Amino acid sequence: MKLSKVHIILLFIFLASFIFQLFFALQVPFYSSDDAYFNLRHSKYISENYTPLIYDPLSYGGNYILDTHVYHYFLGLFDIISPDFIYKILPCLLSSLIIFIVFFLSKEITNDDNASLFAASLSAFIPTFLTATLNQISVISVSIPLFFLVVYLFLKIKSKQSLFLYLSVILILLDPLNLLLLFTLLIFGLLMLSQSLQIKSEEYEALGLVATFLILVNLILYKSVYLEMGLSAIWENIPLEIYGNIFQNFNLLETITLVGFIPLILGIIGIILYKQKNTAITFLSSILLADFALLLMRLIPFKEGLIFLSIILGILSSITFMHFRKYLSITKLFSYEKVLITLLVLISIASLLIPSIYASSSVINDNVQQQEIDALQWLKFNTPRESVIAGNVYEGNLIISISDRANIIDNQFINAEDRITDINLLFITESLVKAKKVLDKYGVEYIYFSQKSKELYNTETLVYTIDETCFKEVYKNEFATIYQVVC
Amino acid sequence: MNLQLFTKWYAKYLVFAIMCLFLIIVPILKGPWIGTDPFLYHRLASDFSFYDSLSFGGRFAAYSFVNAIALIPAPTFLITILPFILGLFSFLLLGKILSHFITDLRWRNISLLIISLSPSFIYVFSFYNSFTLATFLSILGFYFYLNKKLKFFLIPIAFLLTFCNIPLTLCFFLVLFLYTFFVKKDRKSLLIYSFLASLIPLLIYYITLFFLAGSWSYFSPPIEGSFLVFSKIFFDFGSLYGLGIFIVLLSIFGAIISWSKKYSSPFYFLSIGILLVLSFFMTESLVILNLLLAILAALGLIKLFDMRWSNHQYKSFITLIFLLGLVFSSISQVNHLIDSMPDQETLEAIDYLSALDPSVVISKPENGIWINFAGHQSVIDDNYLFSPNPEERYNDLNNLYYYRDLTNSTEIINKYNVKYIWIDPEMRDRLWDSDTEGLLFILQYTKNYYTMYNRDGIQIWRVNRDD
Repeated sequence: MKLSKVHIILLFIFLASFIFQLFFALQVPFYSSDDAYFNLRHSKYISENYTPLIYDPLSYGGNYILDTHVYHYFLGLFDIISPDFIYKILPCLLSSLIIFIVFFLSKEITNDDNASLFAASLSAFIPTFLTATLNQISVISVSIPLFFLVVYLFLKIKSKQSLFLYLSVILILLDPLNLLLLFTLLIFGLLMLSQSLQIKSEEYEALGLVATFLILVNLILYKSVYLEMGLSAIWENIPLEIYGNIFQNFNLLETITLVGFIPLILGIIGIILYKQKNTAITFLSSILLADFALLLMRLIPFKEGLIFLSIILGILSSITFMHFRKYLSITKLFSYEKVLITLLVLISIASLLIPSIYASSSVINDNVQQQEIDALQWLKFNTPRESVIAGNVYEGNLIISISDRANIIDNQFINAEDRITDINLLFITESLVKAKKVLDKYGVEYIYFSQKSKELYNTETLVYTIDETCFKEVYKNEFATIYQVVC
Repeated sequence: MNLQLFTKWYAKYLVFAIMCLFLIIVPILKGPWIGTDPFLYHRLASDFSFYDSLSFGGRFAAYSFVNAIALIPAPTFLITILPFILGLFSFLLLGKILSHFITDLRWRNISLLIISLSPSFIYVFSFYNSFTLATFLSILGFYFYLNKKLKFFLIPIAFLLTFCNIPLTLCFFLVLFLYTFFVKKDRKSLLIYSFLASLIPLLIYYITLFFLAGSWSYFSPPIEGSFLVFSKIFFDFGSLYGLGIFIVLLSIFGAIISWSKKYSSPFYFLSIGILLVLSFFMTESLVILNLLLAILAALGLIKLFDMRWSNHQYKSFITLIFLLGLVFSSISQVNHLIDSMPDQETLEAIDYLSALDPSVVISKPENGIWINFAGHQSVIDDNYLFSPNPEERYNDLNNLYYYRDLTNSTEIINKYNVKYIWIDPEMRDRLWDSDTEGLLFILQYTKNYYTMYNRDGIQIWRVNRDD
């Protein structure tokens, strides 16, 4: 196949996005989130043992991990080939693939190469996407591009039936609790009916297949959780105290800031300008509506919801771009077309690129820091192997992964007992008696008191550690202090 | 290609074997003691009386007493064997009833297969509960009603049914009424007679109870939880005998296919509609609704298999998903019943309690029937109908759980003349945050109580009294 100019530009956008992510990811030797260490630990375990870690003896001092482990197997497979760089390179590569998918989806709607390239370039630098995936081995790096690929294959269902079947199965197994797919299918069906558009038999079959498989996987995996908690299982047993941080209330102003003003405006104009009624635009509108509904009902993590929103708006921007060009051609400004189009592209990209650079720097420099890794590694080499370490809920995976010691809490809430109140008490209380009660309850030998805990609990010190008969400061750096419980 | 025109001769035997398999697993692996019903009916059958001297410290036995009478000849033996036998007969009767409505053998067999695999059917006939006899009698009653020669046998069945399970009787008569109204109009008189045979004795019984008890008391403790509607109706979301989600999906598909024929079978569609609405208020109707939906689900499955697919892979995959979904719900129900309370530790505690001198025991309401089974009086259990002062007892107990003041708690203990206190792990998790809270503090740190039994998290404390 001969590479056309469009293909070369597309490849260039892809490489720009990939190199941009890689540039930031390779700046530090560690990973930039607590979740990254969860995925790292599990895929490493798989690459060494070929079986998933179902019962994690370190999480909560022993906890059943409810996960399909599809992503971990995928990473584990590459880990065998090249263990050093794969966790840095592969997620960047996978998340950059969104560019091709956005291009093809835009082309499906506009049938215009330039407009599709414009949409693809917008999707290359989505700040929320970068915040959630950059250097974080996040499952989102693969699930979101895969979601949109499945959408594209659905639009091409007649010729891509088998591929759609396999990829949708993988998508569901990757993220079974994602309600977006189910809501999208439901809204798509309703919109098609309300617009008197015919759903082809292949589409019916595909919709039925995805919906039933999603239900089956959910019931098999989360049956016990549904029995215990009912439909609240969707929230994965997240304690109320941190539920608000993940499933935030929908806030329009924050949404505009995170999605970007220009893609938002261009996307909305695009959906208004598009007059044709067809499966492609109906499906994209369904995703948009489903995403909005889930965000409003707090059934999807806020940041994840915004990523979908950004990508959809990016795709819809291609419509505005196409109409803008058409409109220019009938105005006196036609002679300045190239200048104006270049200006629009540059402003649009800049409106995303600048926040993306800022977001990426923040992820790399602030999320996890070298001193944090040093402190956790100190724990690994200087504490007895069976020690239990108390850290805040967002540091649990770091403790078990880097220090290789049991934690008392992390973000694997589904099968775990509710310990958040005790942990909060441990970091807030000034009473030695109360703190000691919590420490004894979980057999804690070391307290990992980090800068993050200081910010999270708005406290500078753990007052009760003044008692030297009970606590000994065994390690201190700029980021963290480690106390040994000696009484 | 040769099309298969006839259902294999062994299909019905295979379905029968599957039904037997799913009904036999729970009795073999868990035994007959599941939940509280078997304990209640066994105790009542062993010493039948209309006055229950143990529950609530003594109350009128406003129970579904036919369930207990059926066990009187040999309580322990019958409680083990009767659910399976009734399930087996129900299955055979359902086969007969379906042959009256459905001529297609494949549809009939798949309907029976879906019924056998349904969580509701497995729940009803895996152990002796308030539905077992009532469901069997409902099916038998409907079979008699359809049969010209045996139709008058419906009257004694209706009489018995009403004392087995009142909500189920109501659903039964609702279906029967719709069937008479739309199909068998010539059997109006039979319907009326059987309804009266059901209603009059019931009224007499409850009016007598009302006068004897002095008042009508039906207390219901507050229920907590979100998405209660889903958890009430769908087994997969937490209902004990609710509808399997895949049966519902298949029946929706079946309903879409047969929607054009809705006017030719209004009895059927209206029954489903009314029972569905009713199930929001009265979950017992799900048992009957499940049987009706299974027929639609079977139709859905057949059409799914017979329809022209654009891709053969899709057909195989979707059919596999549905079959797996149906089987998964059944296995889940079996697992759920095997894992359900009372566990071995609780049974051992009941055994221990039964060796003690009869007295009054305090525990959570759900343990009341087990306490009675062990020969002790309970302060409260979950049979609130016509019980003496249920609300006051419930509130007293709730206060007792959280009092740290010895005078207040002793007052309640003395009020009910309590001798033993039963605390299990579930109570600890649900009621208290720490071991030094409320009643737990008093039990541990005062001289008024001492532990008699402490095994596997279950504790039985004795109240230290001079007597």
